[in-house]
Amino acid sequence: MRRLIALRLAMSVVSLLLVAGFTFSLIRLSPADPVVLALGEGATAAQKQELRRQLGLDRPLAVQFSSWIGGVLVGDFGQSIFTHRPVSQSISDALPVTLSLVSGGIVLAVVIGITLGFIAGLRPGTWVDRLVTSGVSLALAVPGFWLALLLGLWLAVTWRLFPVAGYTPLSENALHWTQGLVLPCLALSVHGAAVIGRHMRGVVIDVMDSPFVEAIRARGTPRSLIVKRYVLKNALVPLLPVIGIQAAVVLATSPVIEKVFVLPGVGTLMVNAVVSSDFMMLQGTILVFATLLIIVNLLIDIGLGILDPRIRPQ
Amino acid sequence: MFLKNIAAAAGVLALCAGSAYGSGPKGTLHYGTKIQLNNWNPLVKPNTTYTGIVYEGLVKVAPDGFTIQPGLATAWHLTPTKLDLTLRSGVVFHDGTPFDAEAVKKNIEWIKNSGSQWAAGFAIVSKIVVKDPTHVSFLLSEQAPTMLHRLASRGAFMVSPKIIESGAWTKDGGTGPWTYDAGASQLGTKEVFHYFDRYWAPQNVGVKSIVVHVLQDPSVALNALVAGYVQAAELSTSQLPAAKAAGFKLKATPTLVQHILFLDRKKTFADENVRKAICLAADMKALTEAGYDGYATPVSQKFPPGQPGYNPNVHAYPHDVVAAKKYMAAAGNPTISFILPMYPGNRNVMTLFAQQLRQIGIDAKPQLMTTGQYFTYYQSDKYPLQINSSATENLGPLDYYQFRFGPGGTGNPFHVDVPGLDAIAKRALAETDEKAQNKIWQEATQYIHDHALDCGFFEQETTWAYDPKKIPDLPTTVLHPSALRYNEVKLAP
Repeated sequence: MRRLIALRLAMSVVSLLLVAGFTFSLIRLSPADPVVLALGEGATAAQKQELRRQLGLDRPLAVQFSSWIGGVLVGDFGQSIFTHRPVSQSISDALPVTLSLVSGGIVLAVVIGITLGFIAGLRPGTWVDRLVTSGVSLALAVPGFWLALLLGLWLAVTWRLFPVAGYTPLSENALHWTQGLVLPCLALSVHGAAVIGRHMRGVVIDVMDSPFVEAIRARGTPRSLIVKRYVLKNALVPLLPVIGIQAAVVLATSPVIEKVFVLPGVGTLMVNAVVSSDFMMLQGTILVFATLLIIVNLLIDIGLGILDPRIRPQ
Repeated sequence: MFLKNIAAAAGVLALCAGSAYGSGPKGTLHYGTKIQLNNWNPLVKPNTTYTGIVYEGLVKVAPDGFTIQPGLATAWHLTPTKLDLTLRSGVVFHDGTPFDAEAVKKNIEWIKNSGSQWAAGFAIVSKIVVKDPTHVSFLLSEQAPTMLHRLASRGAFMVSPKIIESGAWTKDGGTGPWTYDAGASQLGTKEVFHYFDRYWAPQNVGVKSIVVHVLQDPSVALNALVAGYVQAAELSTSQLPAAKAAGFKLKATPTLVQHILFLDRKKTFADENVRKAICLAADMKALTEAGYDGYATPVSQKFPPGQPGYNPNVHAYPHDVVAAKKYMAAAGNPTISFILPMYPGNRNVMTLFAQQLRQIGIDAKPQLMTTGQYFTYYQSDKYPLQINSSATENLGPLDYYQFRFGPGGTGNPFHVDVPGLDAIAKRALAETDEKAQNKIWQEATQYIHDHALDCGFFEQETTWAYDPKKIPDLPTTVLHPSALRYNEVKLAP
């Protein structure tokens, strides 16, 4: 098991370096010039050159990259060219928002998906199964941002149950924090819940039809005990990679939901950095997202290793 | 010719205005906007959405967008060689630094050397003489009839000298009625401002706090308004019917005069016949309908009636494709093909415009860019044509000429000389009589029209919706981008 963790950790570091290099190169290929945008219309060539020098943009790309990576290793992501704030400070302000949203979205997706899939899988072909399957198909077809707008319209504007936008920090008011996250988390979770639900249904049906369950059933074991003791446990193992992928999808789609619900998270920072060509902020935020994705995958790999010894490296 | 105003009238005006606000600031204004705050450097802001809350200028413009009113200066006297200013006493910046003549000197020198779009307007200030803390004079190397309008622009807000020296633009350093509360704000999504206790005219301030919510998605902005999350919001034109149906009051104020910019008059559009063909091929009514849902109005020229440079004899080019084709034939039907940059904000207009140009055989290829990419290059020597505008050129005919056609003008990226227009501008600058000078600027307007140096003018409106039960009125300024007059906003009792 230790070997698995060490191997996955090493692979994660390599992945992060690759992401960092790729991001850095792609951003530098962008035709937008942050110096022109920061200085405004009438800046002279000398002023542009001076700002480039101050920002280190006049140095060779390899030097810029190594300098940036060196800073990142000690928590210095550079300074935003537009806000003049350290990128690390902006990210640390925004990270709790994104983590609240994403973890809420993942938990909801897993709980809703497993529950519905389990219920449908135990009653294949019944009206309950058809209802869940139809709901899953609908949820898969609905774009997340559209659903977010609809939820906002119904639950926030019409019924006034939740705030329509904005974020209250947990330290400020726990109730408002929860209320503010319900709609974004729900909107973020729906697609993942549908995918997990669909897989869960299939896995439960497979397990219920498997020879070992037939054998247990033949021994006269009550159905409720079979379901509780054997089906659920065996269904969860193949579901774990699906949950991992959906966690990544939730993370990747969170910037859209952050924008729709005006949440000051890392996704919002990233989208704003794209629009304004804020290189340092963009590099920093992409690296944070990549790190979160890699952490999720690492946890999934380790979890699978614990549940299924066959996948551990020999 | 010269704008001369005396303090007494200004003081009386200020007092009268003050009486309308009763017993000082009250309540919190929740305002929605698409614009994000990034830092507090006023020289690189595209509008006054945020800077208008914390900064003030020496003078300001009235709601008509033209009449000059007192600000941090209570009186002024402008001659061809000098501008004398009397400053308000007892004013302090938010960081506690006193506002005085030395602070004005520091600010003007900073703007002049900033390299921003506003620097050119103060290049003619050859010397700044500080007489005493409340009196300062600008010596001018050439006359500048619009100097007061330059001082009233968002490019001449007064900033604390300490902030200028440190370059710490994470803090606001104005003298305005509200200060920025960084702790309560969420930079980029929610910005919070509180009343500045040492503000010099509390009686002129309507609300005690302002919370600006960044609502970039049009549907979210409308939802926020309907749900009562904000009391007023800048709304996309597409959302206005729904806002009106929900009982909100709408406000539309012309904020920009946009036009077709023939940037490359050196090569691609060197031929006057080609430029005229484009002016005639452009269906401005269709463009404004498509791009702004009708919240834009085609106009004949750069400046509106009543302002210097307006020429009643100049009429907009009509939409006439047959005549346009004749001009193209006269130019020898040249093969013209170029990239037309656009960003999400003007995508509809540019796409339709490219289609209209295709009718006369011009191949304009629209290319969608991010906002950052677009504003890096739209006014550079990379692209020959554009539809846009710049606040600098809206100040007056001299500024328009210098910015768009002057040899070193920022809006003249291909550095094309227009000797005929240069000669007219030179005559205008030599003229000291205001009426005679205006006549010469009218000639300039005629010249620009006749030679199709610019055409396709239209006033683009900014649109708001607000809850009349919570805000009786939403005061704005004509022809100033994001022109909400925060001071004058009052909440209903």
